[in-house]
Amino acid sequence: MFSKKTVMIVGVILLIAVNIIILSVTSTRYPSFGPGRIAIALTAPFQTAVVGTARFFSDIWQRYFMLVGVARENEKLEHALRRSREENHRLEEVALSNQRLRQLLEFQQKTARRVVAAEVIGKDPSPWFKTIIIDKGLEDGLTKSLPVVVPEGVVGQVIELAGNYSKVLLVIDQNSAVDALVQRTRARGIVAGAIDSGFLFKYVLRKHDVQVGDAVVTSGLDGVFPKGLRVGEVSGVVKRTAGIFQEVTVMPYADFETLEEVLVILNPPTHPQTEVP
Amino acid sequence: MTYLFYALVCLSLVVLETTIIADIAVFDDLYDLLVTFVAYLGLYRSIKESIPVIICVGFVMDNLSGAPFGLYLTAYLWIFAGIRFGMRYLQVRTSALVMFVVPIAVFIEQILFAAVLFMQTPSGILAPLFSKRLGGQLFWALLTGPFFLMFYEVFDSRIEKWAADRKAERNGL
Repeated sequence: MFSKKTVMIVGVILLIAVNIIILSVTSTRYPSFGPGRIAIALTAPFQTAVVGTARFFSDIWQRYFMLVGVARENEKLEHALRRSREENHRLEEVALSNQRLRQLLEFQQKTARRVVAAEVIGKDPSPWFKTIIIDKGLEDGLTKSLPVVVPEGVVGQVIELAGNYSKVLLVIDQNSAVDALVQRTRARGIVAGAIDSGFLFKYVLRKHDVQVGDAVVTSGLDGVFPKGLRVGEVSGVVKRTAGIFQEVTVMPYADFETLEEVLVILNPPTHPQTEVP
Repeated sequence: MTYLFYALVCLSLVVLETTIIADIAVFDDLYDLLVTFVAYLGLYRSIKESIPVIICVGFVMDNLSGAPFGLYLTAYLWIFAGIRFGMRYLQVRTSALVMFVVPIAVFIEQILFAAVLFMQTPSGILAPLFSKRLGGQLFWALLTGPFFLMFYEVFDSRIEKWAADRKAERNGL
């Protein structure tokens, strides 16, 4: 009755129509049925694992670069901080050095003597002996026995010279001796270095009044140190029942542990000549 | 080359102990570091090679220090002689005794210093201070001395090997 071709065309048209109808019906509501759930339940964990792993690696990759960037930035910041600290430290040093040099300059102007400033470049290798090396020598006009001072007080005297360097025997060395006076009472004695620390004020007569806290100054009679330079402060007085002298200990005004710059007096006093009429 | 190494080591030690160490309070009781080098020379090097070095070092130290001139030189020569003498009877190099070489050397030096100081200062004042300082120095010497000796030995042997290799190269061996 119908040809085979006609039947085929009608069949295809029907299939398309049914398909359209089904699609139009299913598109209006969400289908949820057993096999679908099972499929999801089976595949989802793998999906989760794969996606999770991918994300993990992706995160690592991204964070690595991010961390590298952060690390670099951190390094830069640390470097900048270090430079700032160094700069700060340098400026503090400059400020302190400036302060010290100002003091030296003021002292230099007050003393009205020809002085040369020198820097301490080395200290005695032995704790038993007290010397320093300064960066001024023969070429700067220094000679042996010149007094070395700081604004706080006497430091020592030049004992050896080289072209641009000198060795200074500190007054706290046990081989050092300075003729000195108690400022208040004019009691005279010899300030000698003590082996442990500080000075011993030797040969002060018992009859002289010396008290703790008295200032000791140079007498100028040793021919090395100018008169009136500060030496130290009396820290102890012992008057024994016997003997003609009293035992006096003196704490130096100058801090020998932190000596950095000193002044060498180029025209020290000479012994006053007594004129015979 | 060896003498250059000696000069470099001695110079470094002298500069170190007169500048940096002298300014650090922790090292107030540190011993004379050159003693370690003199001890090394006594232990490992020949008399002919060591004496000129010791004389030079002693001379330099005597000039830098306020100590009576010749004290360091005397101390170093005595240390050297003492170690050489000890080595005639004891296997110092290859035994644990090597640990005590620097402290003994420091002890010899300090005894000589004390002898000079006792001549100038009443012993009542000096003795307590001396024993305290000696104790501190021996402690440091015991702690650091062996490392110094190891350092010198390693570097010196490397330099000698290097010099021998260069010589062999020059001779076409």
